[in-house]
Amino acid sequence: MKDVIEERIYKNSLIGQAITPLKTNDYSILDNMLEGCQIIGFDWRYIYLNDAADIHNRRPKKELIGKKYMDMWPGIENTDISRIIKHCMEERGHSHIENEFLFPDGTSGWFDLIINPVPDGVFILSIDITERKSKLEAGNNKILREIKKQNGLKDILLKHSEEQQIIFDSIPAWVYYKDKENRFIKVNKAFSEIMGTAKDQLENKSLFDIYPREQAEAYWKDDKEVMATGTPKKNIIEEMKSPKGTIWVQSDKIPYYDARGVIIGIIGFTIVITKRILAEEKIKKLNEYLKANIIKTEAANKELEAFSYSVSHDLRAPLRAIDGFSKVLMESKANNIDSEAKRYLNIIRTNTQNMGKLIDDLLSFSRVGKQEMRLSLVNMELMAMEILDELKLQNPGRNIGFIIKNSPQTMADAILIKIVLINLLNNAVKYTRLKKEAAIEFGGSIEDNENIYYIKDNGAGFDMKYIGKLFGVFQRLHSQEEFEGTGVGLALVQRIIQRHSGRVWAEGSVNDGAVFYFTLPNLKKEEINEQ
Amino acid sequence: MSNDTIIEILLVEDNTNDVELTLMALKENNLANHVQVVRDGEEAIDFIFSSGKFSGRDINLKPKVILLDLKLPKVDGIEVLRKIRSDDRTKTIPVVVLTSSKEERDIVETYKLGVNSYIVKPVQFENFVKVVKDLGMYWLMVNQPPVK
Repeated sequence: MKDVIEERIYKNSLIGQAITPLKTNDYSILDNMLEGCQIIGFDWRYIYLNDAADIHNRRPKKELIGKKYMDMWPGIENTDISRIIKHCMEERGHSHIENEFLFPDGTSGWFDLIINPVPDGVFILSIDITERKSKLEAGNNKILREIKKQNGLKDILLKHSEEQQIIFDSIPAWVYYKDKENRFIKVNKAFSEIMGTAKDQLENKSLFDIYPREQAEAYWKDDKEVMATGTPKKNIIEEMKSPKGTIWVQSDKIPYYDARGVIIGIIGFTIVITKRILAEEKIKKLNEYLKANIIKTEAANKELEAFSYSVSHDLRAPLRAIDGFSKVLMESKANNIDSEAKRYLNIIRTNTQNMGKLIDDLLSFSRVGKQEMRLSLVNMELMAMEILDELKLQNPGRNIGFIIKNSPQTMADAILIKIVLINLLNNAVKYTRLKKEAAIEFGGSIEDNENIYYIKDNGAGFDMKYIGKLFGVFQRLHSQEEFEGTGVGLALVQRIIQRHSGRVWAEGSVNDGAVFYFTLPNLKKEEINEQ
Repeated sequence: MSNDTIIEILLVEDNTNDVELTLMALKENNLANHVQVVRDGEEAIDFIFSSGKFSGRDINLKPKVILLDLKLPKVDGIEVLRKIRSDDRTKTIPVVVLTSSKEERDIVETYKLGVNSYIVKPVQFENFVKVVKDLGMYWLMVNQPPVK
């Protein structure tokens, strides 16, 4: 309803000029209009007011008719509305304004005023728009509040973005965003530090402003590829010059999507891996060094193999010939070989055979290092017994007392350990040859981390000052006449025990026997029970 | 087919001294009557497969045993053994490796190729004679070749 009225009023206002040529004093036509109508004479006295004007003025027309405008509204002469009326009165100009009117009681009202010159003076048409205004104001306030609220949000956003900035800058990697035109939108502290340039010197700059042309082109090519394909490029490793010297970096380049999922640039993430690369290079160098050494060792091993093959094959053949033909010569009937010549030939043969033995021993010694170990549970006691039985058969005339004590089992290569026991027990038998009653004892005990075994005899013994020579290859502490041997046996024993991560040592004194000790891996009780 | 052409033992050996000692050892045991000596791997193959200078020989007259050294000029013993074992006409001939080498890889390799026996020649002559005697007795007297 109100809208309709307002519309009408507006129409009227448009036709305001049509209302203007009213006859003097014939204003009754205005009496029932809903708009306020008042006419002020050239002497500023009220000539006419309708009922609606009473309401707008909040005072009855009888108070105002004939009275001067300024007198009725003290203080009004300095307001805009007075000036407009004055202008209309003197210049006969039209005006259409919205005006807030302050009532003497302090309240106010909003009015749409159309001010037109009339023959009697000035005609003022007023429409109360207070309600509309207040609605508008309410609306405005709402908008204002909204704006304020949004400012609050902005604050929060600002705060968030500050936090983000702090986080962004705290990341120890270099992080940056770039737009499609190759410009840095945002870079973090680490990035600006490594570039030795302030952040604002980097932001909005192109790759080409920052890096040397060639480098920039290479980066830009990568960037374009990532943006074109949408496929990230990861783990790009490169060497870089930086104000801090040459560094190694590893980078990921990821497409930067906006909220709509359109690629609008690149997000870069780079970490410094100089330490890692240096360590890797060190490892690489070390590996190369080791590889070179392995190749050298392999070559040396091959040579050694070829050598021992040669020794085994080619050195034995001439010995066989020397021995064989010496024998043929001795038995030859055509020659008059006297007993002295026969003795010489026998010496030749003995030496030849010794050399053959030497070669065989040496070969088995060199083989010990090469052969693969096959570990199994070894019953040392039983093995010693078997060997001693054999030795008894080989030395029928000897009076030898054998004692075999309870000894722990061990995990070892049975074939190799048998060589150890044969050598040590054989030595014990050999070096007690001059004793009327030889006494040989074998035993062993479980210690903390290993088993210790020993072989004890009452034979020729040795002088402890030569202990260093005892286990050396071809080292002998007795002459061939006293006790035959090649000087390889104990070296072989030591090598086998060392391959089992064990130790070997000896105690002795001249003519008072010797004790040989060796250690082998310890077996725990439950492990033995499981066997 | 006269008895003279029957070869019972093919001795493949390049070392003259070893040839002589082996023949002596065979003679001591009366086994040296039908021995053919060849001095390298190529000659051995020629003899066994009736080629080269032995091309007139009847390939079906197989030796009762081949005594094969490993370290030989031109073609080594292992190659000779491989050829013998990979041909249907010769693969049943007994082959005894008689060598100076005690190398494990030689032993393993020759057994893989199907050698009948691997004997390391002893340095001491008496032992050498005994070994030759034993293998001669076994392969010439005791062993029965498969009927063809």
